[in-house]
Amino acid sequence: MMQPHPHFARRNNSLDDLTLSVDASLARTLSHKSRVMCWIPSVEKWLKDRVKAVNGTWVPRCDGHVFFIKTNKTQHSDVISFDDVKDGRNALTEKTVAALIYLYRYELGKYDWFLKGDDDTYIVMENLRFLLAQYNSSQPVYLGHLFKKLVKQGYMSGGASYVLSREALRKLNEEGFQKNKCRVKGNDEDVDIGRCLEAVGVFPHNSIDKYGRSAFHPGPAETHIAHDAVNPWLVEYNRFKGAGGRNCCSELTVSFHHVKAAEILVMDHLLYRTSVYGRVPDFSRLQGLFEPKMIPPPS
Amino acid sequence: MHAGHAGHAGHAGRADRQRLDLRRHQETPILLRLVMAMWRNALAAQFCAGLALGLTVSFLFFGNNHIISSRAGIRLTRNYDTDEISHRGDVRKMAMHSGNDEWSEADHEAWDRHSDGQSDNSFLINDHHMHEGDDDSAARELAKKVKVMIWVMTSPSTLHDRAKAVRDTWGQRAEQLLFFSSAHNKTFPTIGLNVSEGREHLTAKTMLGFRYLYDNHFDEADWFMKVDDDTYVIMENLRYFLSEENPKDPVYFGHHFGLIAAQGYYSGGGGYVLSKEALRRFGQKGQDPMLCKQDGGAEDAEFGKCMERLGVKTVNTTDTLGRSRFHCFDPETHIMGGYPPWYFKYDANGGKKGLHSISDYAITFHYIYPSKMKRLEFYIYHMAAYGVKRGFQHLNNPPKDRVPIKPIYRDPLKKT
Repeated sequence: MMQPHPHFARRNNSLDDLTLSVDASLARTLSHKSRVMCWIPSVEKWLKDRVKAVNGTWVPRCDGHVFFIKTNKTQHSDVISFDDVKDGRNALTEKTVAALIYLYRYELGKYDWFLKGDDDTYIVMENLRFLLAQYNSSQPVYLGHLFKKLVKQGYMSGGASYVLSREALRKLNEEGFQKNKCRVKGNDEDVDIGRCLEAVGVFPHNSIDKYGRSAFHPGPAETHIAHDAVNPWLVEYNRFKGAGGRNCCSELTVSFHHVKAAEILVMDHLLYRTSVYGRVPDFSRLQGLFEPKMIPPPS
Repeated sequence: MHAGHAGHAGHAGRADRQRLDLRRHQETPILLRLVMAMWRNALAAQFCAGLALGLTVSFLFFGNNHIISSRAGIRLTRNYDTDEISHRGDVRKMAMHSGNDEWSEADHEAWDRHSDGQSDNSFLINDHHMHEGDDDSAARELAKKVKVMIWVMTSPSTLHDRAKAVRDTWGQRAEQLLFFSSAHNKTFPTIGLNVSEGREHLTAKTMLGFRYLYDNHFDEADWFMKVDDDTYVIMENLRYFLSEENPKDPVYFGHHFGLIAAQGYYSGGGGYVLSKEALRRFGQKGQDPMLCKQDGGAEDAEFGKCMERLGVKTVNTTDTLGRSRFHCFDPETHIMGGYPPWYFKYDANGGKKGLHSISDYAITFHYIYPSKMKRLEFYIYHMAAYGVKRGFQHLNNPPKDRVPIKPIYRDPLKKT
């Protein structure tokens, strides 16, 4: 069913890009502490557009990355194709399960954290690492943007991107998939995986900063920033109400979703290149920005 | 009747959500029960739901509520321009779940159109309690040294969304900021110039705006800048650029177009900055219609010809790496290169595009409508990549090091 595991070359960490005038030594120390594997499901039609955009920006900042795309248009070793999983919304869960089994089988020993991204998600890897540094990957940890519906303990929005610790991935496979405890076909992979994680005892953990601002976002920046109120149906689904406008998003935001390919490049440029002359941020004041804790199911 | 979004089909959660949206607008449970009972009879359901929705919308809209929820669930505040209501219909819901959900171009544009009219109260992320550890002493020193006065060209119809966004975002970092319109407004405030609205009078607006500055504020600054109400300015980078220039030089700066005047001129939307000497010459001789056309034509081109005739020079405003600082388009256009054909003839810097064409110390972007302005504000001033420090780069081309501009008059009708 799955192609044999390829050996893929690790890209240069783009923090080494010499055209960037940055002092990234602090960011690099975090990068040594935990190894993050990013996996991104996509389809062939987005290869030249979305996949190219994310691959040219945040994906190389992961310690390892894999695209799950059914295609024979590229021989690139970073692309894994599941030949008998169809494309389309109806097979989302199937594809996700296949990916998680693949990662368990071939990558579990090499990485501490497994991030599910999307081809229209923008991730700030340095901020993700800062958040993950508060947690222990030998514990079952599940992070992302938490919704309260459909699953008792909640589930993380797939589009906003979610992270599983090494231990969580192991439990998911050994106690979940291998014991047939989990749904493996369906439309809504994030709900189905969320249910499966609940069944094997992996709980959601906190990614909201001490000012009440979230790190993972199910929409693009403009939907969260443009209005002071949160959209009513997000309010319905959000476990934590959150805010809109200027209080929506943490300084150390990790993700935005539904970001067009061009906007991905723009964000990358504005975040890493465009700088304000004369302002030197003090990162030490951000210690303790995220409190590491489990989120119990609502009573 | 339901919000017309083609999202996931058939997911129970989504159908629930649509029904719940309707329920939200009903204040009484009787109506709720009516809706549920009518569900089986589609026609009756549509009629009742339409009636109920219409009554609800008119109640909420004309009622005393300060906050209104539309069908698409977007908050409106009371001082919202009513002619934006028609945008409600195109807003699409965003999908809750991941997987190859495509927000098509139409969805994005609908969202952008919708967001464009929103006006929230002050957006500036006043995170003093969070950013107080940051060292911005160098930026503050520059603000004391480099005195630049900025005037924003606005109009009564764009005052409450665009000019307000300027005032609420980067305008808060400008030390001296004035808004000019065709109408006086005491509360905003705007200064009313004796001019009619419309593209054909933009030249008059520009001439009168600078004249006002010369007559009333000449002694208060060394630099005088004009921007549009959809221009975004990174103030610290502007001051850094000007810090190595001499206000006594007859010179002005902006996004350089190489046509029309022999030395070229600067795009109005990208913003341009006059030295004190340039404004002095304009003040003394600029009312002579032989030198400066007082109205009609394209304001930036006419102003450029005026400057040239007064002996005020254009210069190369790219940084030491040849990257652009003033921009007549938004970041996406410059990065992706989605330029209109005329741009390649006009841009004096060769019509470059891409991530490496824009200076790290970019100064202006244009076509930044209000929701984009808030987004830029967030990305540039609030959001950070943990641990990534930007050094102090030496990106200026001081006058003695600057590559001189060759006369570059090109006949726009001639094929190049």
